[in-house]
Amino acid sequence: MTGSRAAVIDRGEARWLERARQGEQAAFAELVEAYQRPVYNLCYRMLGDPAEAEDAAQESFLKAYRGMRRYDPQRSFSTWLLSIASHHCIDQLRRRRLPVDSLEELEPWEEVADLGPGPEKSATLREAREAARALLGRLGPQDRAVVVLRYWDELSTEEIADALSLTVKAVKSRLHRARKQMAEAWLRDNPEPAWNGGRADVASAV
Amino acid sequence: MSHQPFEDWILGEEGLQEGERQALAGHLAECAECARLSQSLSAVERTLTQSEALAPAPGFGARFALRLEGQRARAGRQQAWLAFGLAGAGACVAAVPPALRLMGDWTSPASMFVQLLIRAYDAWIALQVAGDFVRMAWNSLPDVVSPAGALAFAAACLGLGVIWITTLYRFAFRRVTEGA
Repeated sequence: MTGSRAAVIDRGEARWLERARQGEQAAFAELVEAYQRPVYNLCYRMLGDPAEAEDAAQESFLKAYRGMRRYDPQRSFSTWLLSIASHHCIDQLRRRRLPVDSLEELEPWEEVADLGPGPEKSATLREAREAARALLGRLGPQDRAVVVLRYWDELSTEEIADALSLTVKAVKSRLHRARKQMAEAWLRDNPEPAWNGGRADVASAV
Repeated sequence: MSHQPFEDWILGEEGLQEGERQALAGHLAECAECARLSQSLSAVERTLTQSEALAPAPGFGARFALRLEGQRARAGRQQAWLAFGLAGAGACVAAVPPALRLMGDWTSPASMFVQLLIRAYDAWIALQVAGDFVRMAWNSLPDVVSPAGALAFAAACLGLGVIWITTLYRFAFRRVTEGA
């Protein structure tokens, strides 16, 4: 999201933020337009259900709107907003009191976004989405949030720590654990080809 | 075979020094377990990065505006009910002492009816006396207070009224309009 975030700042985010902090609803509406995709994506990846994701994203924006006066302009707005959404989704997942791999028990995700590509590309995207959903489903709520913030929102370790109220060390540890869990899950789900002495992927790994 | 620190290097995100890079490459060529971990992690990262960020259904901003309005209306209703409830509770508390005094005089339904009539008549007389007093004070005001004094008094009353309304707005109704 780094590129899009920079673009948003270029489009006058600072002005919108200032006006939104003064209570101007139209300015906050601009922020909703600018940030709806990363917030919704985070909620979708966390909760795995379009309706719940929509509700969570809307609630996150409401919480942000109510808290605008408390927002520190020195802090990145996107990190602050994603922090609100992450905490909301983590709370939702904890309330469900279901096993951490509950995403797999949900109905397959509906197509709600980007219906533009042709059938082949749509199928590829859907496959990638399902594979990502299965991988995220192996993780606990907070580890899931760390992975989503890292891989989709491209936040730095420090920003993730800030967003999730964790230490940098804890984020590194959670990311390490999550990557290991996902890699092991991948190995279990995808029967491995005969080992070739480690030559195939050595270059990409190092 | 020990997999440390190679496993940490595979799973970590820190860049490796040249020496570490060579050591890892050497280890991956020999260790099937770490090579599989490395390959599957690459596949996982490819999967995650291939899955594009999802967007909400069109009209998200409009739905948010509706939700915000609905929430404000709910908060307004809650606040109105709270104010109504507090006023009602205050009136009930204020009515307790006279009610107790009144009930002390009741010995039968007939005496209760008579007492209520007497109290209502007393209240009517008291209102009339109060009205006469206000009228008399109002008529004699020009003799007691100069026009400038009356103006100052009116301005003070107006100022107090403005302060009261502003305070009410700031601490009660403004919270609703902000959705707080």
